[in-house]
Amino acid sequence: MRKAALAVLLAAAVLLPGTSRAEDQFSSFALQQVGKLISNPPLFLYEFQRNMESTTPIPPGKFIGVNYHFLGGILIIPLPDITTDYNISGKVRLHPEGRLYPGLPQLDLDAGYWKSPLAHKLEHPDASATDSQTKLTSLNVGGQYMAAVMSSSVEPRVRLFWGYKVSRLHVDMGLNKPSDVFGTQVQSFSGRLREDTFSAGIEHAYSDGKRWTMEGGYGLKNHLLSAKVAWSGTFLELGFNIYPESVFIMQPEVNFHVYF
Amino acid sequence: MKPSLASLISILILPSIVFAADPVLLKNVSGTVELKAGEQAAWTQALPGASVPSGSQVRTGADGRAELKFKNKTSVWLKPSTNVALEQQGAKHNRIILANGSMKLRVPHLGFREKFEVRTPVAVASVRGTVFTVDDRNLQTLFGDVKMAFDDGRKLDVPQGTGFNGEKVSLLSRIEEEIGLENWAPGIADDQRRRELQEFVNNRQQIRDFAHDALARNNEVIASLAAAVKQNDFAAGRTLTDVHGNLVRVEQVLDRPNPSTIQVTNVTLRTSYNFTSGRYSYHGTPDSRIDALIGKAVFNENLPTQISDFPGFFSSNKDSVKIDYADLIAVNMSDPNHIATVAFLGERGNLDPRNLGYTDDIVSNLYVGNLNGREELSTLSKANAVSFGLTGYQENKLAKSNYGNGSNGQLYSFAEKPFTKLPNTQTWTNGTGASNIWVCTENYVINNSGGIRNVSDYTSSGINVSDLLGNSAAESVVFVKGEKRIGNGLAPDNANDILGTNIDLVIIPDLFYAVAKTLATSADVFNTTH
Repeated sequence: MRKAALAVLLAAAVLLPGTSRAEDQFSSFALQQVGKLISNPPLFLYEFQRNMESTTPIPPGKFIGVNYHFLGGILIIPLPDITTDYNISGKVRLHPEGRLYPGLPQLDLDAGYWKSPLAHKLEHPDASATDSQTKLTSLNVGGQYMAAVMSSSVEPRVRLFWGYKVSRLHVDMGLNKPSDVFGTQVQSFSGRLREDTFSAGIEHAYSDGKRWTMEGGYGLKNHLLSAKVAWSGTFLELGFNIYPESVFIMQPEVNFHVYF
Repeated sequence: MKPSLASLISILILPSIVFAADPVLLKNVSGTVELKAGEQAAWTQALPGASVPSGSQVRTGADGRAELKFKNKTSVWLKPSTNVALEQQGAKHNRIILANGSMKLRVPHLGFREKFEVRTPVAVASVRGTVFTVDDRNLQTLFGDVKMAFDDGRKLDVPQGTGFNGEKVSLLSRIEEEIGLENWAPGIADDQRRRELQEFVNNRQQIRDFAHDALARNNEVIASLAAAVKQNDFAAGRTLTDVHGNLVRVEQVLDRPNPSTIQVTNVTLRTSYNFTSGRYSYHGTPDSRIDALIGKAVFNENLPTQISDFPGFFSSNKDSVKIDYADLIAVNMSDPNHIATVAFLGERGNLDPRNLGYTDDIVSNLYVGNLNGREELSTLSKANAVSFGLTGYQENKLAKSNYGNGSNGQLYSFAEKPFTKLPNTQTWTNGTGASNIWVCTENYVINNSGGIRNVSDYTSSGINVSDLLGNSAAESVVFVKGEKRIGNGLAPDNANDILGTNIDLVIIPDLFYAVAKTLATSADVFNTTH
């Protein structure tokens, strides 16, 4: 599959006559993405999981929240991404600010899970080792995260928050017969990624049920920087994630949430 | 608004239910403040420190302000023209009735089953760990949350940052927030109160300006972050086409295996290898391959954790910090059990090859051969190279090297250098009678499409350095050839590949460009004379 994708991209780059500068750049970008995917598949897919993860605090007066990641993507225009369709995340407030002890910050616990139903559509479970072509017999892509977020008020409508998040992602792939990958025969691939992220941010309520948040984070294991600016309403959140190491640095997101 | 009947009943009946407790004190007063110590008592001028027992009432005049202090550290500030009654006071349960006016309360964290309630003309507010203001109809929660219960059975939550305006809960306006956060303590002159409020507003404006600037500078920060690399471990990667037309993925890493070592690894990955004609013949296979270039320097001292501290560290320690070992290793790792290796391995403090005794400079030799696995590659040094099966060589300065460049500014060059096998004693010889090998390299500067660049590409005006470097790479194809005699001279034997393959490296400048941008350049960064 990988060789076919490369062949398609190379053929498109070669056969299209008189390719313009924009198409050359797009072809180059496509090559970069394929190269990144091949060299480290879990790290490449983690960009999509990061769009889905939410570490903002539960609004004052609420106790529990449920979140669904709807749109994300590597383009400026939000599109369904690999975590869409089958994802869910939730938050629960363990104790509000100052309730247990004066000055003690609010503590929330967050967790989320996603799985790619698209992966199963690429499988050929009936493929056998005698087939002429190399095919995927199994593909399982998914991830989960957990986070603890503390928040403290600096003003009635302004809060600072900080948190620690543990993310995990897995990519499991099986082929119907061994394939030569850089001199090694590969019939199955199992990739795991774990990232521990420390984040901090500020939240400001600017209207009834509306707030904006600004958050920065740093991944301790893979040294990944991230930043996020988001506007949240009663049910909708629109955010822009900023990943400096990515080819497309700004990645939008659209989430649905309900707080009780 | 007049108190409801229920509120009045509360005032009449409940004062008879008194729990013994420490009294509430009038901590501070200013202007006209009066106290009525019981239902039958008369109004008297309130003095600071006066006790306010259950069933008492306190009222402020048009110019009066007062502060009440409870035993559980609850503070209540009364504005002018305010009338409150202490309905219930006890160790576990305190209740204040606001008949008219406005007051601000700060209720600290309460104990288990401890309650604090405020009854207004419209509702009862229960709080714990809260700062809020309340008047006849409205309630604003500044910190914490307030639970309101109405006479008709309704219940309402007023969380932090919101207020109840008699009809619904909504976000506090800026004015409401500023009034709530104002200093309500009595005894402060109005102009001082205004100054404090203005200072508070200015501080908030500074915070807003900071947030606005931070958002407005996002693009600039993104651009600099995109060019910068991580602090301790640097990495870069690119996919491009090499000079032979093969698709190549290049990964670079700069890391610190230990505090005294810097190592740069450049890995070139290819899914297939089509070698087009060049100056030298390739006798290997067209299969997928991995080529790598590893540069390592081991210092005699631990280096700073942050690479941005390197210039200052080397500048201030230029006489003491030296490189003990320096290695430049090029390998073809396509067969992980037979890694074709061409390595220059150097060590400080060796015998000077010019027979001048021991030298403090780095003395390096060439080592060529096949390593048996990646473990040997990761631990390769001058001390163990021969034991790993590599053969040592030194440059044969008696034989003539060959060099050449591209024409018309084309960025291409080749080099052919003879090397003589080191004798077992590793001492210098003049090479007479020993056979040579030739290390032959073809070097290109290419663009991402594999085309060979020209000098004019870099000398044109108006170029964007970042874009140009992002579309440039170096390719070095290394062969180790045997030797043949041509007339009276010696030359590399193109048909004799010592390693059986070549090492084809594509090196991108991304990592070095990013590091250079974050470092202040220093002329004496590395103190070595070799």
